[in-house]
Amino acid sequence: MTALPTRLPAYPPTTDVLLVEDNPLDAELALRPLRELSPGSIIEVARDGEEALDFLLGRGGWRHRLGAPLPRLVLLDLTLPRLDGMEVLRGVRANARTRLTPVVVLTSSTDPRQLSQCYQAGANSCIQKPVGYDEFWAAIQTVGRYWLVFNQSPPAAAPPVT
Amino acid sequence: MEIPGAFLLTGGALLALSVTLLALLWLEWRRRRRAERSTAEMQSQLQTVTATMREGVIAYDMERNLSFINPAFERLTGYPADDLREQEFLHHIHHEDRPAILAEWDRLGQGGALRDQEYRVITRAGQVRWCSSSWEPMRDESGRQIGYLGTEFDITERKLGEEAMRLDTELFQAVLELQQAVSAAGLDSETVMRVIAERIQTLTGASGAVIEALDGEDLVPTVHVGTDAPRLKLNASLSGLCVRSGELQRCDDTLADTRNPHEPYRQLGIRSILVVPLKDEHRTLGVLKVVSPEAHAFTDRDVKALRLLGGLMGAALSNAASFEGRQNRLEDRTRALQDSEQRFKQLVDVAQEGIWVADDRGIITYVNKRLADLLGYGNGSLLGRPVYDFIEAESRSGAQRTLSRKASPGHNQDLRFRRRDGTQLWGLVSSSPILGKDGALVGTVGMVTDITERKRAEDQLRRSADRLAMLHDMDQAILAARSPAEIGRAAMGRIRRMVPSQRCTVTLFDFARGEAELIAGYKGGVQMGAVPLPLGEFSPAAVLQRGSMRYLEDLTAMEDLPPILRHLRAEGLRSVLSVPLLVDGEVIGEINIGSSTPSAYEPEHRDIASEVATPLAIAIQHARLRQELARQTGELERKLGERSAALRAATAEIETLLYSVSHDLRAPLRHLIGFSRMLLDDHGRDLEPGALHYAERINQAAGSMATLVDDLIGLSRIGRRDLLRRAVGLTTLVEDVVDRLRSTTDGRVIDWQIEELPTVECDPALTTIAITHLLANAVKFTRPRERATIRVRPVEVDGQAGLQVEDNGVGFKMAYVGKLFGMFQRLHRPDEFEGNGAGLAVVQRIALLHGGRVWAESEPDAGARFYLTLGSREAGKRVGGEAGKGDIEETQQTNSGDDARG
Repeated sequence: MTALPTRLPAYPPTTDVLLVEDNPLDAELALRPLRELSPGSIIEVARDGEEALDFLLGRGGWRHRLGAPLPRLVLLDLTLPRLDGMEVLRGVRANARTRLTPVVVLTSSTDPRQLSQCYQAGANSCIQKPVGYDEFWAAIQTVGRYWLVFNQSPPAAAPPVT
Repeated sequence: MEIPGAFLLTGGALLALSVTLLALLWLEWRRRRRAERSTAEMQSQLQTVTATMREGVIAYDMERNLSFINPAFERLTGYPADDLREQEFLHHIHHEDRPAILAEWDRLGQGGALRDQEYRVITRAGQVRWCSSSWEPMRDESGRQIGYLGTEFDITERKLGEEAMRLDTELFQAVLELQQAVSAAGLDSETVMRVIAERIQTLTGASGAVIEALDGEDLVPTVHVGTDAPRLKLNASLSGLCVRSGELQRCDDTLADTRNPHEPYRQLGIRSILVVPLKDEHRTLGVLKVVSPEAHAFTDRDVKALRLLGGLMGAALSNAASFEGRQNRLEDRTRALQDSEQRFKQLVDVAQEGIWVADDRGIITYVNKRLADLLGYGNGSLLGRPVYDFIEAESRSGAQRTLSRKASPGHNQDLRFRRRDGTQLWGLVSSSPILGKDGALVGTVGMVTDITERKRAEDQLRRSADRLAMLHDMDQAILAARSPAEIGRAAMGRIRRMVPSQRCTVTLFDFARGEAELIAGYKGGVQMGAVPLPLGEFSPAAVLQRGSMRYLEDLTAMEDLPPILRHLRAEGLRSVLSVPLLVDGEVIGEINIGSSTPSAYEPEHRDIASEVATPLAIAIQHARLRQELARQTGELERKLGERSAALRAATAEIETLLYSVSHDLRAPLRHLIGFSRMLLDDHGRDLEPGALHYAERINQAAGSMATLVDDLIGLSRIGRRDLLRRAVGLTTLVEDVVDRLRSTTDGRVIDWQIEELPTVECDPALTTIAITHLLANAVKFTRPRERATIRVRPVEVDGQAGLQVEDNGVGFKMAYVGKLFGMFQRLHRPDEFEGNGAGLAVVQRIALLHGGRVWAESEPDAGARFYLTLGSREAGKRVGGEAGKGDIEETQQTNSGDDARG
């Protein structure tokens, strides 16, 4: 687990990763490899779909984020109460601002239909959550490394005219 | 032959001319005489004039003395003038002709003239010459007759010609007469010959004529007239020579002929012989001969005559012969015909067939004995009566048509005849018309063969055939598995045809329930429908159950009838035949046949009825049993269907449950594993050994559970979709699996021996899973070995293709082989080998889905052999797996290309 140089954005401190996960255990498990990968990254956690959309779209409790830079990666668990992952994904893609934000879907299922739906809804990538600890750790870190270090994030969209 | 007419004319003309010339000369002479008044001058002048004339000129004075002769006359008579002067008056003329001349001379004396007197002159040499003379009186100036002047013209040639012609005419006449005679004789050879012989004899002036016929080497006199006729030899006689040469033969003097001895003829005094062959178209039949006692008796004329008659005779004889031949043949044929007629009559009389001959009206003109016998009449009483009298009414029209037909002879017909005693005769009649010369029908000849017996036999045969057909129908009905009603109808249909009935029915009894059912029948030709009846309507059950045939001859004569029979009687039925239907001795029903005629049922009918009853009963019983069977089978199938459905549903539920449970277990498992790991990683150092130990155990357990859950998920997936069958090359598949297992075999020495494996029809994904399990096991259980050997071979067992995986691992006891494939059954302790015992269960599941098997052989510490077969090699078959409904997510899956089955 070598720490790779992280590029800090030119902007004021911004959220690097939005983790959308309802299960605190899964959340905790996911945070560790991420932090180990990029200790300086700012990781936010949304506990359900509504919260995730509020955060990304700058509404509700996160109204103050309106116009704020978007996270460089959204890790989206599909099984969420109330508004589920697919809805979040659709919502994100429907909005002009968030349309280009990289979203990686995390799922337990290997159902090809669901996979197909995810991609059609606009997911950038779909990862099946491994059960084994090492495997889980490697998966999260690979995803993180890829999207945060290697990937060129899309330029920030113009702030919406309110 | 000279033409006498022209001759005459010329002669006459010349004569006339010469006479005229003479007259002129005479006139001239008279003039000159007047002038010269000299007899001598006159004479000398006369001489001069007549000296060169060809005609003879002669003059007589009144005293009948010759006063003048010219040289021609001398030549004519052959006498010199002086001799003639000394001769008697008319001495030179043939004595036979003198009287005629003398008679005429008187006229001359009176100053008349003679013209064309014809007479013969005998010349000095004795030759006979014919002359034609004309005479003129000679006068002086005063007109006083002083003599006669005659000119003589030699007409010998002409006369001869006339004679010849006369002879030819005679001959011709003779030929004509002969032909007439031949015709008159009626071509009887003998008469013809005789006639010819007589004629030729006359014609030639022969003393005798003979006709000799050729007979081998001899010439046999067939006819002879006027002479004896000896038998002669072919090669020793003139006749023989004639035959041999085919030419006329002539002997003018037998005594002088050196060619032949002519012995018999010499003895007979015959001197001249003329013989001519008698021929028909092809050969010489014999000879015609004339003979004469005089030598040189026959002239050329005779030869001519003989030739002519000979030819004529040849033809005539030939005709006669052939006529005779024909006549004989005709006689022979007539005889033969008569014989044949006789034989025919005899034949006809004794013929097996009856034969009649009738005239054009159909009146019998002849019958043979047989026909008379057949019809029971004496011969005589049939003649003169029409044939139709003996033919039964219904056959008559057919007979009339046949007997008046002119065309197509040899027409065969069956006719019914009536005998004298009234009984019937069936006859096969073959009749032919007798046609007259103009083609008109003049009569018929008929041949009658008694076929009464045959007809009877045919009827019998037909009935038997019908019976057989009926039985066959029954059998067919049994085989065709029709309903009892249909079988009953078929049986009744057949019965009706063979047994008289106005009504026939099949009724089935149910004694237990006291019911009966009429299942089929005919009433007055109309089919009846099925009708339930109370059993009470029938005869008492005891009677019915006896199972014997009952025949009621006349219902009207009976009292105390059961209701059903009373109904029948009311309907007009008189006799009833009841035949029970028996199965294993039990009465299941009966056939009832009713007729409006009393005592209608002969023993034969009863036989037929019982013949029908037997197979009918069996057929009905079979039909009923079949119905029952069908019902029960239907019931069973229904139940089976229900159970299968239930089973399928249950299975589906279980699978769904399994899947969802396994799936849902994954998240907490992840947590368990994750946190126990983190505990160990982050705080393992801080824990007391006991706590550490527990943490390790927790982590271990979580890991085991993860594996278990994975296997469960894998297992549950297997049955959820249809089995695909594709040609899969197992060798490649195995190699791929081996490749994938490499990560687990790092650092180990494994000798993989993969042989050429077959291509089988199987599900590639599932097969991969199965092989992965097998090979993974092999890898696992060979771990204790320094050098692991894993061999994969092809196998074929019971027509199924597959493979064998053999390892040199730790093996197992065969006693536990039953547990090997059980779910979660293990033959090793966890501290020996990891694993949860689900792998082989999965392999077995996959094998079973393919219709194959998996089994194993092993000995402890001696490795193990695992066999896997994947069903028979049938191309393109898709076997519906026991597909579950899948989990909730997958129920929407309908168009993924697989049929939703199950």
